[in-house]
Amino acid sequence: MTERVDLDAQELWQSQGDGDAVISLDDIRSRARRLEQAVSIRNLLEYVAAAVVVAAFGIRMWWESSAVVRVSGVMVIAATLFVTYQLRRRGTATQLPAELGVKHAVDFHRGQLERQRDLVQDVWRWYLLPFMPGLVGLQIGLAVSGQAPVANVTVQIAVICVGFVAVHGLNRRAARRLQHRIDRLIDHT
Amino acid sequence: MASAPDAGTRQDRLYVDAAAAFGAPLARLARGYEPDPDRCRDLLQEIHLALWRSLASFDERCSLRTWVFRVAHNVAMSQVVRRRGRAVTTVPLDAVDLVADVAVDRDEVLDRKRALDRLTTLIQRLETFDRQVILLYLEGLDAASIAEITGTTAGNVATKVHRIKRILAARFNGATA
Repeated sequence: MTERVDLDAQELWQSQGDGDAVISLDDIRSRARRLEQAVSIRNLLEYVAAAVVVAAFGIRMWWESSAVVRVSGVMVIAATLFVTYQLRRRGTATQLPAELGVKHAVDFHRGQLERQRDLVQDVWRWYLLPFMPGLVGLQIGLAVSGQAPVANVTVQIAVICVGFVAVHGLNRRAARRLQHRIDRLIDHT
Repeated sequence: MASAPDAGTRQDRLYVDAAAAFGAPLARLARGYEPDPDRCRDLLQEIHLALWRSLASFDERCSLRTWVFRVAHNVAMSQVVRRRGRAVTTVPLDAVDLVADVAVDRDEVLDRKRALDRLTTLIQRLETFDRQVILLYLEGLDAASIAEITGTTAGNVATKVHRIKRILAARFNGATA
């Protein structure tokens, strides 16, 4: 004899226990403090890293005799300051806690994907490109002033350019994938 | 659940209420997004933290339930987006095979643990929007409430729910011995 067995999926799903859902307010406050500390430390590290680069190049350029190298060094310093500003600006553009409750899930998800797409799509422009003139100029300056063999400088410039193109290509591919996910999300909703 | 005695501010009191009412659904939601137990625990804690922080701005323009589920799904989806490098292949609801798993046997349906594992695996395989809809449906929310949380139309949600019911029925109902 055949016996039919039905299962209520909603009842089954909701029958799961609480598991480790227990989180006290003290825990929450402690985590919030740790999160704020982590963000502060991250911001501080970004500024320290920028300060180290600026100081190192500044000192080196102070004693540099080649005008091309000095100008290129200043360009690297300017690029470092610009990128630090961009990191700060883009970092603070993340979602505020209140938006998590106000925004509909689909809009929020789409916004996240678009933000990430724009970030990887533009990274060459605000993160890589600003360093290019200074880094290439430095190599040319070293060659012109006789501080480095032309062959070595040529290889260095080639490596910089290939790296730039490779990173740009990978980011474009990542941006296309994100766009594909955005399109799928729009199609499904 | 959050401990009540230290619930001083309005934000704290709202959180205590929300955690008491929705602690279990949030834990289930985290399981629906994250197969790995450790990451699931991390996600759940992240959701609770985000919920507590967000409640400072809760203006009662929507119900507490809607707010809680929006925060939870938004946090969980942020994690999915962040983990794009380790992307798991997901499928839309429409692509889930209605036939492939019909041959579920009676013992499997009666074994709730196995059935729950199958259901969780199904949920985790779905595209994010479909995953949201099925998770909210499984929590007993109606189409209008799901639409309010997800931001799509009630009609669209109703279509999805209809499909979900067919899939669940095909996979879990009518098993024969």
